[in-house]
Amino acid sequence: MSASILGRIHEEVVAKTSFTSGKYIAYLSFALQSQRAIVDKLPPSERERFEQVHDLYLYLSRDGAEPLEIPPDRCAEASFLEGNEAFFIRHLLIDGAKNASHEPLVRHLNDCYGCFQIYSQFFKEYSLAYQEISLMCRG
Amino acid sequence: MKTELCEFDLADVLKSCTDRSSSAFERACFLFINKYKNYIYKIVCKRCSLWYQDWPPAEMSEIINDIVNDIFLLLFKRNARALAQFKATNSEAAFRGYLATISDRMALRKLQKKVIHASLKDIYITKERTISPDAKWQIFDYIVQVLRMRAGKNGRHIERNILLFNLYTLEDYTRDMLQLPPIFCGMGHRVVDNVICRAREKLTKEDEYYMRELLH
Repeated sequence: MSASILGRIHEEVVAKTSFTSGKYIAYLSFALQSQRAIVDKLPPSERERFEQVHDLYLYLSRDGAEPLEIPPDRCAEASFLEGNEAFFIRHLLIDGAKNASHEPLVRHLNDCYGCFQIYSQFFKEYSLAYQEISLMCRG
Repeated sequence: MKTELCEFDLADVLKSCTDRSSSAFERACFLFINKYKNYIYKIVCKRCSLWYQDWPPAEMSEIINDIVNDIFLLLFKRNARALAQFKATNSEAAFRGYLATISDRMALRKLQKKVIHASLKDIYITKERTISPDAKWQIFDYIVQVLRMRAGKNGRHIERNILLFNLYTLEDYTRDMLQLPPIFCGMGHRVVDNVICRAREKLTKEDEYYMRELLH
């Protein structure tokens, strides 16, 4: 898929995202770690959304992708992490794997209560979804 | 008593309150408390109303009374040091401003402490429904501020540890959940427990530091 198409998908996914997508990223994470197709475990209504998240992951993990930029101060109006699926994909699946430094992010999460809440909520959803997937795959 | 309150001289009363050996000490304390108790009560009431907003707890008046008592205890502590520190004794307005500042800060501190101590005991904050969103943000800010201030010059992983503590305490994360964010990669359960214990100790000791700083 060309970079321009992936870029458009990126914009569309970011625009559509309302809160967090811990669940979809949990499915993606499981698929990447276990090298198993997981999309069939999702209800049909959610598969398209999952594919979009997967495509976004491919776009963000290409060579030459821009590094993650964290705001230096507390967010003023809209939280930086609000609807920022790309951030969580980079953080968990790309930069997380590379052992990147998290110092600016951690500082920001301690300064910005809004982002702290979103980060917390994301990992709660992620944790729950990952457990569900593990049970599903075992059973 | 109304006449006595009308004849109240701030400078004299404050001076007598700080001198236990004075024959006027008891009377001065009595006059002081009678004159300012309603004023302090209103300030504490206002702070509690802001804190709880739409969901005041059933024991609200008890909470307010406890805080007012604590304020008076603070004011008279160590030979009424808080009163002795006030210098503009010719200005009633200035003194009320001084009292208002101490009372409001003390009220806020006590309200924060109620929530923080509940979480320090591993009890999920069941009262969070009664706490306004603004108050939750203040608790978060308070914890971050204290832990940064008490981190020490050579503290390592200060910010990471603060985040971990807040996720554990305010967001009810389990130790297993804390393994998920890449930020905490490589932290075993024992390290997590140490971080949480140390943070709790610092917050628990904060009272002592806070009282000293409040009076400066």
